[in-house]
Amino acid sequence: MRKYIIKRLIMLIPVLLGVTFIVFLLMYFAPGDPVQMLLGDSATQAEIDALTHELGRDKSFWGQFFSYVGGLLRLDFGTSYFTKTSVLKEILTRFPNTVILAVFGCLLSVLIGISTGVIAAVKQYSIFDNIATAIALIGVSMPSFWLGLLLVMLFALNLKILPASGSYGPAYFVMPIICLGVNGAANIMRTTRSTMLETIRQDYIRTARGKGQTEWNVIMHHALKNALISIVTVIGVLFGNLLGVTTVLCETVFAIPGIGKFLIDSIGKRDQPCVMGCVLFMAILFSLVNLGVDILYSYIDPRIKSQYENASKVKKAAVKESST
Amino acid sequence: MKQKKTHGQFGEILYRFTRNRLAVFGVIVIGILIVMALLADYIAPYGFDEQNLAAAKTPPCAQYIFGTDNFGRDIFSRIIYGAQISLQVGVIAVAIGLVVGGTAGIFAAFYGGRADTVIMRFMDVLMAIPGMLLAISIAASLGPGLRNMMIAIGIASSPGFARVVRASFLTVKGNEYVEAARSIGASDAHIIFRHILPNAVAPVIVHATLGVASAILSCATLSFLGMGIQPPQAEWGAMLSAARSYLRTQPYMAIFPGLFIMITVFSFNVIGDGIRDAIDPRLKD
Repeated sequence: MRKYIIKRLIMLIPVLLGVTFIVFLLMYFAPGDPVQMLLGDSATQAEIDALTHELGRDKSFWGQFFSYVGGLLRLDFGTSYFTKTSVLKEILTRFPNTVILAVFGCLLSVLIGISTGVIAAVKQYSIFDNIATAIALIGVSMPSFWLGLLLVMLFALNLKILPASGSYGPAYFVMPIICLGVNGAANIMRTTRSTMLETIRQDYIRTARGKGQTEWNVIMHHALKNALISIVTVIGVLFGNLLGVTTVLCETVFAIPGIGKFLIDSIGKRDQPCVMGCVLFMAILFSLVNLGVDILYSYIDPRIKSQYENASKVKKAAVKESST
Repeated sequence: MKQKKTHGQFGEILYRFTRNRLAVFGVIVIGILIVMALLADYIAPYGFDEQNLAAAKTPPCAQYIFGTDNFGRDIFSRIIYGAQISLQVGVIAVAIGLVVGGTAGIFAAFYGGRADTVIMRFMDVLMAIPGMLLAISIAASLGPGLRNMMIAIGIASSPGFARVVRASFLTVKGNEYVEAARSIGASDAHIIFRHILPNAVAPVIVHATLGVASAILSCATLSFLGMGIQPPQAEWGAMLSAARSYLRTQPYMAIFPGLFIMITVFSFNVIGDGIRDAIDPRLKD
């Protein structure tokens, strides 16, 4: 198992190098000259040349790319054009806010999504099922930023029980987390319901019922446990997306200083080291979450674990078989 | 059991699709939206950038059924013109994703070996960036505007298409009739377009329909973030962004554009689900 994890981590390196290249390429050809923006219209050509040189922007594309990658190896994500501070430091100071949103948003989604999904599947075609399915379908179609605005109107402007924007305490995180949670819950509910419906019809469920298990045991231990693989996949994608991009909108709507808002602000200012740093940082998180989910599979389903552990043996056996 | 008349494969799928009430509802809604978008110049009571400052911030009334915004522009008219943009982006972005990703997927599946490895590793790299983040990055690189946004969303969706096309191609490729075609000396192009494509197209259609829904959502998202359609053009996401300053006083400004995004995305989602269930009833719960 450890071998498998190390192998996957090593495989991550070329992928992230590729991501770095693509993001660098995109930023290199981005319109607008940050130097011009920094110095304003009154700058002389000499000043522009000096700053261009200082920022290393007069080097060739490959020169800039390799010096950037070289920096990354030393955990140096570059320096912001505007604040002159380390990009990594800027990201790390904002990271906790994004993590709080992603973790609690995901937890809320899981709680609501799995419980309603299971009930809907067990009581298929009941009123609860119909209403929950309809709400979930609306939930996945609803833009999260619109939901955010509606929540602001309801809780902050009309009921006046929650602050509208900013991050000065736990109360400021309630609405953003609800906003993220509703969208995620809709996704998880749909998957839970359909996989549970599939699982409930399996023979081993009938066997479990036949040997006199309580309905609770049948559903929770026999059905849900087997449906968990698909559900965990969706949760993994959701959490990766939450860390990677969904929070961007949420942070923008509720003015929470997280990585997402930093990214959008940096794009507006053409602060390319910050933009690149944010995208890379998010892509790394996203890849790590995906890896984590793959590892989690092996704990949920021992069959997968034995597959990982015997991968080399199986491969050899398969080669042998095909050659005979 | 009553014998059902057979109408061939397509007829059978269509029959099953029309039995799905939600999917039919989706088709009707999208039909209305398309008509609205095409006839915008005739239906919309006002132009999308026609300002009437005297009537600014009028709540919904008989004259302005969805009210007016801070410049006195009719929100209903702007939503009708916004439908043009959303539907256009939805369809064209998916077409771009389908052409780019689909071609890559076909090449990878058909030629296998090294071509497969190179193409799919490249797609893995793109997949390592969450779709929306990739779209944001590409949009930031290309700059705002309708065309750039369609390219950004299209490219960002292409790895998904590459995967679906490749998977469904690989399934079909192993069939005996492909081998038969090859043994009578058919060209690669002939085999791809006449034998494999028609049989591999079903999952791709489903993915594309659901893709339109997410492209429309991405379009609204990018515009909301100020990286898509620029004012005074009417776009639903951009209208929501503008409405943010008036949530307290003019809440209706934020309600109607969001409602239309939701209905449109919802409709494409149920159509996609409906097609999937009609093509393969086994997948239906």
